[in-house]
Amino acid sequence: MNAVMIHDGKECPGFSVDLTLPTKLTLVVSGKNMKLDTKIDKDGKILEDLYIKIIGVTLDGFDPGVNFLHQKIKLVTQDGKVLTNPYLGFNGHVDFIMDQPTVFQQVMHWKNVA
Amino acid sequence: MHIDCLSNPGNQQVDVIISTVPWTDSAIPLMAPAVLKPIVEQAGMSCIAVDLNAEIFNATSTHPGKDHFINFFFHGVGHPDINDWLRDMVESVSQDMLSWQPKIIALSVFTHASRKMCEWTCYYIKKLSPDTKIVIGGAGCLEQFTGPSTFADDMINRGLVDYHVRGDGEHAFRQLLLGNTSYPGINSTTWKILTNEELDQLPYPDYTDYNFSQYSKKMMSIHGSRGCVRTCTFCDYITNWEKFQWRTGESIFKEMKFQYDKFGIRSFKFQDSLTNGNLKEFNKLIRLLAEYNQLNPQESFNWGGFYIFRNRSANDEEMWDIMAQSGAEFLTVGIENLNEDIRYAIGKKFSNESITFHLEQAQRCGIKLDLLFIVGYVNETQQHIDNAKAWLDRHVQYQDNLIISWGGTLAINPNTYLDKNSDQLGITRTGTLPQFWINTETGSTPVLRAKWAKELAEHSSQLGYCISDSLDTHWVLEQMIKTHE
Repeated sequence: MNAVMIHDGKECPGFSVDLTLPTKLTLVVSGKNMKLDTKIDKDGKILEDLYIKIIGVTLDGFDPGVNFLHQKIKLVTQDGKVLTNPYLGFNGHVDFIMDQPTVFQQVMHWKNVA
Repeated sequence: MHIDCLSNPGNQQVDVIISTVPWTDSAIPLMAPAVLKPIVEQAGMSCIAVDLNAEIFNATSTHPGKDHFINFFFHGVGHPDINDWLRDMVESVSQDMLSWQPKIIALSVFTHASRKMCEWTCYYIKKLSPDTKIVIGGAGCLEQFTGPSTFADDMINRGLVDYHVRGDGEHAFRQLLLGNTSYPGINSTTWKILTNEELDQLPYPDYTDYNFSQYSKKMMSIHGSRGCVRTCTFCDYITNWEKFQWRTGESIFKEMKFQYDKFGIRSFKFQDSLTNGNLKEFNKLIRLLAEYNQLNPQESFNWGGFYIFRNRSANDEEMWDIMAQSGAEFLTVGIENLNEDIRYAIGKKFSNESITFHLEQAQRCGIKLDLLFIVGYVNETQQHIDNAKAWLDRHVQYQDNLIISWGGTLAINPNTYLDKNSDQLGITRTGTLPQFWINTETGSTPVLRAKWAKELAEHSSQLGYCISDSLDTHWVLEQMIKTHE
């Protein structure tokens, strides 16, 4: 099983986009079949899984910090559950809300709240 | 925001701007821009050289949210109370620099605490003017004195910086200005050392663009040498500056007189790793200064800097007298350890008897001493710590003349003697910090060494010695305990 990231119709290990702040960037996770793509044993332990793991986010090269990945990435699943984790193992979406007017303010805001 | 040191009311143009980058807690001018300004002018270009750090340091010190700035400068983390001010400041700095329409902006990154500000300043400059070349240099760019700079490489890869200059920057920076960007020291780990003659012939630092009202001390920095005459086992400075380079006493004295005539400043802080590396030239300098001070009692000079103790010799008493007459006010001395066997193993071969002699002389002459120590040398044991405490007990009569810095214990830095001989010395690394090591032969561990450092600080403090403390030391000791307990 291989999960792929698709951006502008092409597979990519990572991507960059041009944005004008303030804005919102939505990452959609789709096409995962929970019955086939997550294999579990009789005790419920996951043996094999299909997922995307976000290993880094930067805004114009500025890293909002490791806490951002673990505290601010919220996957909203198709049934409305919110999972705070950079490990995206369910279909759903992640909104990156950038409500600040400049890169400096946005990075500081992320670092403050994280 | 108005940035005074960069203001350009006449819309003038210069070829090069050289600036320090905040944040350094310094009561006196940082000298890199002043050192490089005449180098630029000798290359036929115009230049302003400013100490931005002083202005921003003062502004942050009086800001209502002053407690939050450290977190920004050290870690890039803002706070709602200061974020708008910070954005305004970084934008204004970049805009004001560019108002001079420079071809090159050179930023002096003095310590790691200048990195975040450097990053944001470069970001804004490149956004507003991508073609303006940015050069960075300074110890703050380097993780270690030798080897690649992760910081500089990252800045170059991100397009925020064009060139990183290292080592004796005078050669490399000049060549860069002349377009020879493949010269050693420019985007490279090797660099060309200045010879003594070249060091002597360098133009004097030019502080014309500095605003001396920004500093709490009316004191000017000066360099008499680079490198060191000793080869201490722990030292990584000598792995970078492999040769000791020195100026003549006359040359240094002339510069002091020149700076006084131009700026009216008579106090000097030597930024060398030692002022008395070349004893012959040091003796010449202090005699010239003593003679000058005797003839000009109303305009006498004073100075301070790093100093090495040597074994007592016949004419040392006279030398202390002349030092006092030359205006020596404070000397910083790396004693490292109060046990002779350890000090000798380090490479500092002066006796305990000589230390006592020098303490006596310094006290007699009214010259303050700042003593630096390294706790937990590779073969240090509890017995050595007990000996050090006993030494402190026996020398309380000198305490009014001393400041003691115990530091954050022995760091084993890359490419030092200790690093290269770790296996033979029984040293095993236990983590990434240079203080994270154990010695299986002696049972020395980070927890034990942190305990010793605290013990010595408490003991000396209880005896009434003045102890110099730093946030860095506390942080390191905490990490040593937290990570290894």
